Amino acid sequence: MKPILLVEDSQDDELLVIRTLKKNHIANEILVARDGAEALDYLFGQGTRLGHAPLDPQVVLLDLKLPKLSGLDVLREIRKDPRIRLVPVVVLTSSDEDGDVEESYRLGANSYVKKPVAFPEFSEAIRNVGLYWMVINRPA
Amino acid sequence: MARSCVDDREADARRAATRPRRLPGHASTHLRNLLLTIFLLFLACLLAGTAAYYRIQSDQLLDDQRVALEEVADLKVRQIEQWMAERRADAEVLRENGAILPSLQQLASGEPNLRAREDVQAWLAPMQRSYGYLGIVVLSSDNRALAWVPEGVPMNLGPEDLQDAREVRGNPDLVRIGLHVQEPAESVVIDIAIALRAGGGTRPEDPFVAVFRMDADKALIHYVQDWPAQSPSAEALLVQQDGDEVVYLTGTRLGRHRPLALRVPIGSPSLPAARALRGDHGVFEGIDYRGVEVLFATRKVSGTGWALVAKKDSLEVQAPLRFRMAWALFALVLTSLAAALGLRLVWRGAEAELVRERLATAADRAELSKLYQTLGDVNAAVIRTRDRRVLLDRVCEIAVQMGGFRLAWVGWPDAETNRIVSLARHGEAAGFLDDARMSNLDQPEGRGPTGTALREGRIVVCEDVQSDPRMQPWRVQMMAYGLGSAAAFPLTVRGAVVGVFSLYAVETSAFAPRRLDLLERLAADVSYALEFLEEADLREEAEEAIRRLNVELEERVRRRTAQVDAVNRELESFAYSVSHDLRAPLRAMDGFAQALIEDCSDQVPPQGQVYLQRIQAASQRMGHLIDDLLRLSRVTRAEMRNERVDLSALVNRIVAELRAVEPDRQVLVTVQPGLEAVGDANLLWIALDNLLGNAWKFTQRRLVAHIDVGARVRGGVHEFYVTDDGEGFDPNLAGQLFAPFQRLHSASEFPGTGIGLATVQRVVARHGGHVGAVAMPGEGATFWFTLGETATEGDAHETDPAGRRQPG
Repeated sequence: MKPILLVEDSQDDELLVIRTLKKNHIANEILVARDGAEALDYLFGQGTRLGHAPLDPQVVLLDLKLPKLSGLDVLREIRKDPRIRLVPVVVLTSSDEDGDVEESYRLGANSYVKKPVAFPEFSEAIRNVGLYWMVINRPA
Repeated sequence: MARSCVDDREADARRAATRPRRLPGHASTHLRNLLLTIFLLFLACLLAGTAAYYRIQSDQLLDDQRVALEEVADLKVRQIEQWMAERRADAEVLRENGAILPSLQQLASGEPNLRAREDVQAWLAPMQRSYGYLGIVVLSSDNRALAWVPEGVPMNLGPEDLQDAREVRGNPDLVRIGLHVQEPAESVVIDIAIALRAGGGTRPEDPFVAVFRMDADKALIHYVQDWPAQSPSAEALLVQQDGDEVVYLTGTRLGRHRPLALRVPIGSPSLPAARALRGDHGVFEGIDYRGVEVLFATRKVSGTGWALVAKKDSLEVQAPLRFRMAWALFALVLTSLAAALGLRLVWRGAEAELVRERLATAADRAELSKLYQTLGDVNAAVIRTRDRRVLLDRVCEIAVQMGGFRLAWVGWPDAETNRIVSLARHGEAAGFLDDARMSNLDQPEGRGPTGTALREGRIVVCEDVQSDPRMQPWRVQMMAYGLGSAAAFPLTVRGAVVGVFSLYAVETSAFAPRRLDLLERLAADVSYALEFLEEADLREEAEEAIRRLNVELEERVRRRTAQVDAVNRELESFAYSVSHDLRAPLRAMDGFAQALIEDCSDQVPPQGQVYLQRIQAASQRMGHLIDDLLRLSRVTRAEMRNERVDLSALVNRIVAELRAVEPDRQVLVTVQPGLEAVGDANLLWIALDNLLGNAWKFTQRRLVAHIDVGARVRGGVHEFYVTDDGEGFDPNLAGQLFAPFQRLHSASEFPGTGIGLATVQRVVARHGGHVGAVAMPGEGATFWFTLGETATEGDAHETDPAGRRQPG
């Protein structure tokens, strides 16, 4: 099972997202990047992650408001690189500013989830991305 | 003598002796026959002579009158054409003004925009004031009035105006000038329509049209009706063809018709106006609109369908002739009673008189014609010249050359020295002015014609320099320069004497009454020119002010736009920060409280769980506050689209949503069908959602609540209202309702953030409308708003007019 890459600078939000995922039987390993640059380090095996193999996540959960490199910049870099351009990206944001939603989709986000992450909304987003059975380990 | 004495005696003796017999006296018969023959011969000659006299007189008189009528007609046509050229120039100032186009385009797009209208008005107002127009209005391509001066209601435009607007729009080089009767006031106005640059309206390639309006009485009619000399039956008419009728544009002086009031069929062959419109050019005899025989001159006014008629009654034309003929007949009777010798003498005298008279008339006529020519030349100079000094030089030169004067000059008082200085001079004797000192004070040097005319504002004539005691200060010099007589004419600008026009002739008594009349007319024309030039100066100043205003305005708009852009950017980033950063801690509070309840419920006592729920409720409430605030700020910043919005459908949709949330509520909603507005559908949805949401919320204590949505017209503006029979509020607090975070009820009674009505207020303001509310505590509330109209300025919180339905 491929890991999930969560890109989130707020530790509160990180904790709440992970809690929601775990409580809803998502068994994938969850890796956390604290800013945009670190996310790219994970994905390309560079910088702080030099020496590690590039990460091939099941899905990237990407917050938009990040230090160093914004979520939209990270998304742009992902869609530019032929190696990882097909990685599913679900944008997490507290903003419902029309501009953010539009810009995310324009840059190739696969889905969009508004914080706080409620599980039904999250599972809908995962369904959109087409990974539902690969991510969620439904209890029998 | 002796012979005749003898004859008489013989005759007496014969009569005494042969009384019963009547002896035919050969001599007397012969004499009688001779006398009779002579008398008859004399009488025949006298009659023939009188007829010849009549003919010569009549021909010359008619010729004089023809020349005079043609001169007047030419003068008027020149004045009218000059006047039209000025109007065209005025209109073109506006046409060439590119700076108002953006504002006009904004107005034409249908977007209500007070500032754009004020911008255009700021241009129109100085034009209207300084050029003396009654009003100016700018029309969109579909003939809507976009902007106008003076303030208030735009001036009334008739069907002819709209026709003119369409024509100039089709041909932007055209300027249409038309006379119309203003219905309510019965005054006559002149409307000048001109196309501006293209833009706006339903067909953006069509140009705007500006219509300038003048008081016809003060402009054209004045020019036409003013006659240069005193005459009871002289009259000038300006006419135009309309269908098969002649329309008398400037009315008639003799018939006392108001302008445009008189219409006569054009078919009448001898009607002067009809001949003028058929294009006959010259002097003719005919029968005018009153059915009176007249002598008239006709001219076409180029560039218009107008024609001008200058006419005089034949009766007046021939009056001098009849007067002379009466005298001639009187003389005829007298002379026929006199002796043959006397007759012969009288005849001789008459013959001599005739010759003298003919010579005098010929000289008189030449003189008159020369002066008319002078007047015409001065008028031409007046129309052509735009420089005061050049004009006055030219006038002096013309007077000397054409009028045969020895010196002509224009004097101006010097306020410091009280001397009269010459601004322009011409003539052989111009050197006289270098030596002569003249004053405008009442002292010897100020009591000559020039000083007196300037001081007293009247024409002053000195018939003979040598004998006139007033000329004492200058007599020697004047004799040296060969100046025999002088006349001075005051020059006035708007009724005040500003200068003096002085003329000097070699001969004494050179200023006969007719000549003086014409020279007075000439001075009046110079006065007119001075007045015109002064107005032109003022106009130039006004145009300069407009140019300055233009630059200033552009700069201000640029600065303001930059400021607004900066503020908008700041707001944008502020809203962005708020939406992200302010929400993050709330989310954590809410999330972790939830986590505590879910994960550690066995360790948290029930009381603790209630507290946790309170934390959650509070943080969720703050989340709503932030959402509402963001929506409020988005309402202010969002791009607006103008479209037709079906408000009734919108209201029904919102009500359906409210019912879906609270299906158990009993609320009777009445929506007036067919409510429509022009505006931004999204923003209007937000506004109505808030108003209906409020009505829904504040009627929750009613078992069966009523909400009523409709529109009415008040003060010419559509006013929409939402009325409920809910809680109402204290009317004294109505003013605070629309400020953000103002709540008139406690949150425990009726939940809410206090931002909804502030949002409504902004939506309405962005549509250029007003919003207000009327209520009584416990008796419900009515919220009303207007859209897109600025007619109801001001008070958004005005109190309830009697007609408003109160919920009960």
